[in-house]
Amino acid sequence: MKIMPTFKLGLRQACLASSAGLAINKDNLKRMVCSLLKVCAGLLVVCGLCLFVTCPVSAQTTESQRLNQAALAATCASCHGTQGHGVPDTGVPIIAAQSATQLLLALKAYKTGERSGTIMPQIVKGFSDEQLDVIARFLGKS
Amino acid sequence: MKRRQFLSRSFALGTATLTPAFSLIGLPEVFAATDVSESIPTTSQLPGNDAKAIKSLLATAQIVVIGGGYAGATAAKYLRIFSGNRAQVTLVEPNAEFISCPLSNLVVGGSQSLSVLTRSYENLTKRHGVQVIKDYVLDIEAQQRRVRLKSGASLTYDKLVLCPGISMMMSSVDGLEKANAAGVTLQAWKAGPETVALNKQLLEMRDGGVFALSIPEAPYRCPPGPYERVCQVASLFKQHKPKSKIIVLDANQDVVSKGALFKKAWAELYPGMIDYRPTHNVLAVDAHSKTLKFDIQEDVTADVLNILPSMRAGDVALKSGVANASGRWAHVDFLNFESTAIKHIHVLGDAVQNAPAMPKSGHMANQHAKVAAAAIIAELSDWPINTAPMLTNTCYSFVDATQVVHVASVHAYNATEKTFKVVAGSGGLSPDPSALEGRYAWSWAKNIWADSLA
Repeated sequence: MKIMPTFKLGLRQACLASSAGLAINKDNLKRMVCSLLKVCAGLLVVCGLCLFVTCPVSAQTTESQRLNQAALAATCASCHGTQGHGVPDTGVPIIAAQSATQLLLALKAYKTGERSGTIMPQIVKGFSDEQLDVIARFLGKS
Repeated sequence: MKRRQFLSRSFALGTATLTPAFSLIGLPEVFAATDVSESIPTTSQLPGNDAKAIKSLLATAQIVVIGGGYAGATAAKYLRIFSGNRAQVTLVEPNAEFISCPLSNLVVGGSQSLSVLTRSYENLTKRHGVQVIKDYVLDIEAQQRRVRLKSGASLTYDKLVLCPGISMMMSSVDGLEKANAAGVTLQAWKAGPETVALNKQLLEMRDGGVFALSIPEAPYRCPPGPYERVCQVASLFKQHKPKSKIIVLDANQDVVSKGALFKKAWAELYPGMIDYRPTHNVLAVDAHSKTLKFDIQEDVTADVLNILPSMRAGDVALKSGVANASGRWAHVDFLNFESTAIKHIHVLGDAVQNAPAMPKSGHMANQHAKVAAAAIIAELSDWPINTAPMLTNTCYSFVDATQVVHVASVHAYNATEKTFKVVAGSGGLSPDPSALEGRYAWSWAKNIWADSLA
């Protein structure tokens, strides 16, 4: 899922390069300059500070993406329980008890029509394969 | 925020503030990344900024949720979950317990009691740390970001999540207020004592009597679904009052939802009992003679009158000024459900001016809440808001005590049109009523109640 604006990605790349202490060769320099051009002046100051502390933006990206993944997976929770922990013995599968691989297989089988059902074949068709992958990995046991 | 606290936070860059990792239930790796949101000063933290600017720090922001229905309860719970239990969330709800509108037609039909549809709010506090206040919101003072309560107390907020549900526009039917006051008509559209009272009226009616249900022009809260209600009353009549009739007076041109399925169920399960009359807009009711009047069609007299007037967002939405869609519903930015009229008020559930094909259902309200909760947490953490939120909907309808039909849909945010649209090829209907879907409907109910409240 591409959710970060370009300038933040550029900032992130620059931060990663500097905080990891990468050797600045021609290619690296070119890429960095391209990225930095997209960054506004204010953000450059923040980026400069990244040289001295851990890079906040990369961690921020991860957490922000995880929030979006949690919100996407939460669309399932209305029927399957919060974070896949459904109410036991109601007849609906407890999806948190399945592995991510099992879940993705089931979701894709509903999408192709290989597996029949009442609601699920209609619901999965509303989600892209990428979204189904995120959902399966978020809710399934690792 | 106190000034000293503010200073230490604003200049924490050099020391990289680290907070402990936190986890979602059962998913310890989720959200375990180091939180660094407090280490970057935001505009609202900068000195000289408007004192009324929101506190962008998640831990200090006050989030007040008004209304503990499907939207409000879910929002309160997920604001806590999505923030790793750091957001401070207060829920204001006048009722002591949650009573589900979905499935409440079964109480009208007599196959279930209200207690089966009733859930406590206590787990929101015990398990999720939401402060629940039993009170009624009189008004919102948006300039002061303050909510005035009936008890005399008031609450200040940085973010307000407004889930007022619906109010009945009694004046849309002449004489309705009087007929309601006289105990002749009722709505039973908010699950509770009226739902039980309608069942009682039906049981006390003479066999051979007439039940009239009037349906306003869409949009209206659904569930409880009016066509499902027809099935449930018919089911009760079939069992207890087989000579009785049902007249359905629909202001719409045809059955609004699951039309073919309902008409087939009416014909097959309750032959000769249901008289469906489309394009019948009730103008007036006479409580004394129990008569309904229309613009051109002939009057209808019935023994039990269930008159549903037009509906609008709950009173506080109108009072506060967020009901900017025809003065009835609230326009929102669908990325975060923030009112387009007032900053920092996020409106969810039935009160929202719908996106195309978006129903005013409990399921949809539960889904609104998760999109809004994630967006609010992102904003308070100074993260970008998800630009591609998704919603699903499933509505089950009981055609008798056990057999069910469903309609389902998936809605994706469309950035060009700035609204949610049904994903092409998604969703659909049941082929026929079935007892299997009846069991799934109960499963859905138990799970969504738990997802919203437990």
